[in-house]
Amino acid sequence: MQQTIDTEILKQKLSGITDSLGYLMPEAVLVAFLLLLLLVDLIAKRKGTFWLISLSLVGFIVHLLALYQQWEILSQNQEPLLLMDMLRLDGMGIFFKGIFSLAGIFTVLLNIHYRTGIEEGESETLRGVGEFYVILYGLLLGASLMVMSVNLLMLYLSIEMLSICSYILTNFNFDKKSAEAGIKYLLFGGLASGLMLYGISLIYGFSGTLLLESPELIPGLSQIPAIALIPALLLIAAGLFFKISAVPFHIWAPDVYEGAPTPVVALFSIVPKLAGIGVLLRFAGFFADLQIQMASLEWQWIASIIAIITIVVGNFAALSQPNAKRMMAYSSIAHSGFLLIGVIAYTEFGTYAVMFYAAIYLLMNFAAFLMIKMISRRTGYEYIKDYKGLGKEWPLLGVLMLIVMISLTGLPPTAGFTAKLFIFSALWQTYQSTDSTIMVSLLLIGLLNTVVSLFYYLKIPYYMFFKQKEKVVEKQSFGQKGEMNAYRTIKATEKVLSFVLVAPLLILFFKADWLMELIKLIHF
Amino acid sequence: MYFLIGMWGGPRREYAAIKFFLYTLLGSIFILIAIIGLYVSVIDPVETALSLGLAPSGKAVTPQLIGQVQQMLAEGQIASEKLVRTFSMVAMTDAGNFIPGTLLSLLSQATLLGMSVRLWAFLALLIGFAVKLPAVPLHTWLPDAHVEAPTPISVVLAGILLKIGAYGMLRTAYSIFPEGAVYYAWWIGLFGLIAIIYGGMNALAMKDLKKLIAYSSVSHMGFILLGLASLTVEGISGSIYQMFSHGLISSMLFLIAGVLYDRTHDRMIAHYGGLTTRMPYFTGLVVIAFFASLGLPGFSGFIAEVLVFLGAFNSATLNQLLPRWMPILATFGLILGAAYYLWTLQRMFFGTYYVRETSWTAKLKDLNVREYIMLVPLAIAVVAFGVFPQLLIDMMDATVSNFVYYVNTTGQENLQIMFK
Repeated sequence: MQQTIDTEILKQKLSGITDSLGYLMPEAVLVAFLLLLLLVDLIAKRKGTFWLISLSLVGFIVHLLALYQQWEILSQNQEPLLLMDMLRLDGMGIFFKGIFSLAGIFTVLLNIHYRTGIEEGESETLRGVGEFYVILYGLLLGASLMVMSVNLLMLYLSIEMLSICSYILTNFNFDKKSAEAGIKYLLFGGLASGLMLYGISLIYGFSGTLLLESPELIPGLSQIPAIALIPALLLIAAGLFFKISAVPFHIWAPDVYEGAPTPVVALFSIVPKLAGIGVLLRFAGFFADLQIQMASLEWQWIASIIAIITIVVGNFAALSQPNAKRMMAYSSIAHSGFLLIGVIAYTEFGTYAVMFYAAIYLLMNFAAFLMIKMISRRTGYEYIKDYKGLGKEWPLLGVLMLIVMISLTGLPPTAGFTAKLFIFSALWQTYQSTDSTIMVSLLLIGLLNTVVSLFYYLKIPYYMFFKQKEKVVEKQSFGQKGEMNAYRTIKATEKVLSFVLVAPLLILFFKADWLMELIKLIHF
Repeated sequence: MYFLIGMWGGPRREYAAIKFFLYTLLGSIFILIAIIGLYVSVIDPVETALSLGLAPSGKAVTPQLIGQVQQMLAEGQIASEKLVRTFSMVAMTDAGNFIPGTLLSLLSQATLLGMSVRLWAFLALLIGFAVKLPAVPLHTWLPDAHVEAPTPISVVLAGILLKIGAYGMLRTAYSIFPEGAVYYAWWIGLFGLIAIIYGGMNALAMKDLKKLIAYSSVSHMGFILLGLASLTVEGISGSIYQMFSHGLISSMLFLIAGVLYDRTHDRMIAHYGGLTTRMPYFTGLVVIAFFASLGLPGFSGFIAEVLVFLGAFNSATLNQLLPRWMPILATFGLILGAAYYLWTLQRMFFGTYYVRETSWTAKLKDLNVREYIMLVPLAIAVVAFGVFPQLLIDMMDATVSNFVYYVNTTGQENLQIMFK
């Protein structure tokens, strides 16, 4: 008798899983291409670089198509729960997955010119070129699952998947700095995961369920005294704050940004951060429901404090950074604070604002890192003070860099301004309905920090245009000079890529509603 | 502007450029805060009527229909997704377009740290534009920017950019939050007064000709603030006249400084003396510019300052906003202006001929054709607008009367609603 019931349940579960698979095409595509890349790398050995690059690009395009198909299925169904209530398929998840896919494409394109792990003149047979793409796919799969998880254990597993891939990718420069950064990242990340897992186990102990949307979760938790519950929730939040590098969980970021290969850094500044923000958006709903039961849980207050510290520390620490990549690390910390503002606003418009900001941030950061790499590739410099006079040597590069920096600051006429305007409007609306002092402080501090950020963002165009180039004694012998000059010109593909990244920043300032309509269409 | 100063400026150009940019951005942030608040609170009645399907097209929206939309808004009948928010300043001036319950709505009585949010918003706009004006505690970027900027950029800075401050105040802060204009009139007047006296005192102490002109600009901007604060027809007209006339006069003054700098690359007042003997025509134009700037009758500066003083004195009887001692003290600004200009004239242009380095004597030729073309039309305009003030006054009279009436009455009404 018992056995038949068991088989019934098993059958149900199995059919649930097989039914779910139809909804998970994009993830299936990622897994399929991951395996395919691994195979190609094995078979083609060292000569397969071209195939690996084109295959991974094709993979992302197929992924985007699958996302479109997933969206079409979604628009006919009520946001289904998948794989035994592990995942929730909704518009927000699809939007973030689209962003991840674009980030993947840009990472691969950046990587074509500056092949990770291979220095100029070094033979290509040396290092694991193929593994790079395989791990990239693994990272994106982890991020995709992360933004869909509604089960705490599933969330933990997907975060681990993303994290482990990140630790490996950090090391891909294969030098001392890179290894040091990788170890640091691993140790901090391990600690953060441990804390998060402990928090999850406490929540499970309190409520007996791991499902975020389970009807038992909130009544179960509201029985627990706040003094025990709040630390448990904070532990979980700590894991997510670590991923988005919010202060005080940010210490890994500058070292990793400095040590890791540039395409990887650009990827890190987008994918784990936005995945963390996506999860936090989901958690905001959970916290808000919990707050109805427990008035003492003022999650918006705590999150606002974190956001304020993040913005202030990020911006002020960036002021004195001599290295462009380290400066971008602190800038990305500050931007985490701005993204958090949208989460704190906790309105529909706030969610749209975060998505808008996310899309713009993708463009801005990839453009910035592309140009930092373009410069360091040609001059060997990553220090801002070495950018002297480069704006006059490469006017096009200088102007594009200026646009990106203005956009990162959040000044018109760039989409960075529009994104900040949306985020702060959302915050104002929430302030209007809650009337809490902490929100207005967040609003003021956030906006005033824009002035601080102007100072360090403008330092780059400042050195490029205002400072004269010092006469560098070229060490190359006469014969090599011709080669050197050819090497200093900018390739056409680099021009196209930087235009593709920068032009939308200007277009979306004037036509912000295009992107906003798209977001609303996806999210309905 | 940042790049214009930073790339073609003087020796400390980088410092001046970044200081200028940081200051004005800080001001812009304050303005942005107010704009965000307004955007969240204000609807466009025409577009909202369209989204509600009350009218087929924008042209068919009548004033009655707008009234109906505002009525529906006040009663909370419009669903939130049907509201069309707007950045239109015209919509913002009408209190009926504010969504009830929003922080900036007149009736919401929302306060922040004990003060109405509407007054905070007025202050944010005021401070934002005061940086650009610049009003006194926020003025320190101006002398640096002027001294380091090349001559044409100085002219653009003084002639155009400084006017954005006062224009912005009139257009946004005063029009959208008239109660703030009434409530803070005393303080605005006081800061105007401080600017007049402080700017004048500083100008008196400057050794660099361009710095002197920059501080005289600060002093003149004080007159604009004083006129705005008075909220009388004369005062506001005077402020607008001052904006225009300062544009002409200070452009001329900076060109004059440029003429000297072109020849010797030195602007120190003490390094010159008795230039009349070498450059008589130049001195003639300098005398016109200096006298116009110190407010001698017959030049446009005089008309502007007279109107400002008339307004400021009348304010005590018309709307009791400014006490009489403010304009009385401000007249000392005129004396200071006369002092520093006449003293400079005496030191640099009259007396025995002297230049610091003998090699300069060959370079100090009188004006060339290009410089005449720049300076003479300005001089003519300065005199013309000083003799025929109706050229401008007639144009702005009706607008200013309406504006003053609107700000005074609406401001008082709003204050009564807010503090009842």
